[in-house]
Amino acid sequence: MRMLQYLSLEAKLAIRDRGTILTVAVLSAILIAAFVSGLRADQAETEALKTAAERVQAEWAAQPPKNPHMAAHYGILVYRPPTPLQAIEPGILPYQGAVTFLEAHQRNAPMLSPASVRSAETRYGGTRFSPMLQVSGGFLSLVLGFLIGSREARRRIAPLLKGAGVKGRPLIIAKAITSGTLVLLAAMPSLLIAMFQIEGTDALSRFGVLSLASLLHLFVLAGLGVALGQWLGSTRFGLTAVAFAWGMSVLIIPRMVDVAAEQIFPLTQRQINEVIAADFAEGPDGHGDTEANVIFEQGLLAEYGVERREDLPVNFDAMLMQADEEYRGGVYDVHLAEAEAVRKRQDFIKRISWLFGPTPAMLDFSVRIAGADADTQYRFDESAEAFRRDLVGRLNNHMAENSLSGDWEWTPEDGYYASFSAFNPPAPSLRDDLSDLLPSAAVLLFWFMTSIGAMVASWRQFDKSLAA
Amino acid sequence: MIKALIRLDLLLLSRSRAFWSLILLLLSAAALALVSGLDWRDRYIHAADAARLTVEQDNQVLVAVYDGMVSGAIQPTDDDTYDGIGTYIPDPRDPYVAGFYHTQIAELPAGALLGLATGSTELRATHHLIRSVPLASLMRIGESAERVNPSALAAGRFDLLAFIMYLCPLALTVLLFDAVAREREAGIAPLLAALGPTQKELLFARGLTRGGIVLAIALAASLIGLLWIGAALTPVAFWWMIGVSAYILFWTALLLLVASTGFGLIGTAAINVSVWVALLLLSPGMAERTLRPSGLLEPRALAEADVRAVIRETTENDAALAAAKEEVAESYWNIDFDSAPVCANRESVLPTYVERRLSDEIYSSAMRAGASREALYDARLDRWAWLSPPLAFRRSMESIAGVDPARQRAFENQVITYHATWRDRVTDALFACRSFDREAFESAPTFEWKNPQSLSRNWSGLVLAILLAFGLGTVALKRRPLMD
Repeated sequence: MRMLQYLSLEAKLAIRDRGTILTVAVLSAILIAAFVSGLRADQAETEALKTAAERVQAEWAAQPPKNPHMAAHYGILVYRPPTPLQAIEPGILPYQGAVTFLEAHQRNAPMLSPASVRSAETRYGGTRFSPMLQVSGGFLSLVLGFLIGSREARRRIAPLLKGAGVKGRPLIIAKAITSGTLVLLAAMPSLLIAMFQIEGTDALSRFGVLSLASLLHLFVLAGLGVALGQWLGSTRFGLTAVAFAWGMSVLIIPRMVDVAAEQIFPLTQRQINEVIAADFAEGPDGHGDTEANVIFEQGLLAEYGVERREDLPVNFDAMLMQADEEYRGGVYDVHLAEAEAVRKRQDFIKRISWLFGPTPAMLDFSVRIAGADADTQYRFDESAEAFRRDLVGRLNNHMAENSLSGDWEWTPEDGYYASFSAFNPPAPSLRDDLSDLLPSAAVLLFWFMTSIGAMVASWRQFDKSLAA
Repeated sequence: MIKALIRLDLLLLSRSRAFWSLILLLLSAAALALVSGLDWRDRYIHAADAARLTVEQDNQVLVAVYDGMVSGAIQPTDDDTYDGIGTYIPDPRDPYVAGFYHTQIAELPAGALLGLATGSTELRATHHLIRSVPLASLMRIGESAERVNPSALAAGRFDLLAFIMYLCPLALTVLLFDAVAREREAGIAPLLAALGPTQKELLFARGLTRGGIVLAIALAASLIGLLWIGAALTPVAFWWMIGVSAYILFWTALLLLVASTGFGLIGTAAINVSVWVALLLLSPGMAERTLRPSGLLEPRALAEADVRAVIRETTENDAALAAAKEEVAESYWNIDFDSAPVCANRESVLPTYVERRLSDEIYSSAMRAGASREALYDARLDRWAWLSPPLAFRRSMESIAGVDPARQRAFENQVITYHATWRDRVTDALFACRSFDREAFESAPTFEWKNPQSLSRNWSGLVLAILLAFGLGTVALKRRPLMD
């Protein structure tokens, strides 16, 4: 028999199998439903954040004459911009603050995470398109591959086929191609619908890479299913064992590794707050009395060659507040970088779960390609902080240069506040994010090779048993 | 006969390495879930430590000034004449100054069974500092209670409730898929039937044995958790145990029903796993997405902008400020400045309180509007609980454990009310030309969390699980015997 005949036979058997066709139809319907339901799910939230951002900026620009430091205390809010593929892969962002209040003297954490105000947010499940494609699609691919791979073993007709001269290699390849084609057919309608709904070159590029990686992931699982079907098809617990292993690898082991990562590299807000507060006490305080204030004042007086702060040509209070900002900024940088390093170490530990199945690595890839990972949130937080430092620094320096010490009533010229640009964090392109994708992409390739290896082993076993 | 079948099944299981591997895995996972959950409980309790320290330090400054004034060592600064030069010493007697410095903390105590279930406690702030400054600058709605790894936060904490909800049913699918199919496919069903046991008895015995083993592990883990947090003898512990039992019974009955359908081993296994995926992965998310109302985030996202708008409008010019003052005096303060004593009309501080009052009204109404949308969402989820029994069960168990969003909403509502009391204490003192002496300072009201009467526990998940367990179990046992 030639390869085409094997393929034709497998295709016919698949088409005639109502269970297989039903599985493909169910998968297709689930994916379309997941895409459609997610398409408008965040629209109101996204619009609300955008409207609020525009409004806050307009009001900042139009604020009445006000002492700059008072303006810095009133502060401004910045809102996290939407991500390129938010509708299909919101990633970790719903669980992270979307709004940051920027004010003088302190760096506030982002607040108002969308999930925090949704009474019931299912975290183990979720119905968004990409996670659904990876989790439910991956599971059904595995089952589909298993059912196709185990067909002869379940029906106990393998010896008959062997007797008719069927070889393992073309048979397994034909089964793998058939399973892969069925998975492709199931996923294609939703992928095509999604493609036409996504706007922007970068988003489309990301979607293209995500689609290819998702299909690779589904093929890997279908291939593993075919190989496992060959090995375990005749055993009574075969499918259950495969399903249980899948459940463990996708849902349970990653959670266990999460717990382990937090235990191995612990970090609490209290720890961070304590070290930051301790360091703050050592530095200048714009509204308090510290030894550092005295040292700063002495230095400034010496620099300008005067003996009293009233004789300074600049506003001492504003200079002190800026010194306070710069010192505290350095403290935040050191300790938040340490916290970020702990987070990265935890994430590294979490990669252990990638060894138990391809889906955790694919979920990581999906979140990263969609720009909805922890690094995106970190960038938003960092951009907001850079914006805050620039804003408060400009306000303090303007006050220092144009008013005298003790003059808290001084207000800048008309239109001064309108001279500040709106918060506009850089949007990383796909190229910028490529290096972050490498670990999960490498693991996916490893699983692809494993899947190929498993299929090779299964056809050798088929041929070996034939020879025996 | 049932006893004999149970003994036989236990004997068969005890000889299976796969069974012991499964039990070992379940026990390890239960231990890990307990460690993870109890670690979170500990972190939650200590999350407010830094805030408590802030309160202590802020108030120590005022105590030192009171003490210094008695001894004559300290002379507070007159806020009305302070020109910004020289050291500023706050005068705790001045209500306006005390409004800035006198600090309290509002804390939501850990729920009775926090540690066994996490609920939404990771996602919302569980304490707020309270001063007589705008609420918008104090309340951090939607700020995480603690620092948690972002991807772990998004995935969900593996606590005991997650273990019971996800892993126990998965173990049951493995244990029950061949409840009767094995005998049927092995061709020994007629032989077994001839010896006496019916399919009903076999199913019942297998369900009792295998469901009982999983239930025993879930209850044992729960008991250890309850003893650990010192809640073993509380009523909520009883309801927790009832909930766990009902849920495991529901899954046992459901899987016995699948087992009784007459499918082969592969068919039963495929259906079991599909049911697990459909009920635990698909249905909760679909139900939540479909029932979610709009307006959950929007009022809160816009609240801060609204607050800034009112401040801008009020401070636009003197006329705007005067109009705002009149409006606030009439609507909220119930004071007529024309007839009030001169000292009540303290021009240097009242503009601040006009702004604050207006911003507080706007902010608190936005927070309450968001909360009412959340309550609507809860009501919808309760009404349609039968669409997703695991979702209903989770909501019930979180309610029993005291980690549900309704409890946090009640806390936020009490914080808003307490802040208003704290702020009004200052304005009342200003208008009555009173000052805060040491006694008034020390007797200032502290925040006390009150479990609201209206916060009834959500029983729908438990009731649904019990009804389904009996309903499905009855149907499974009354099906036409296939092996007799």
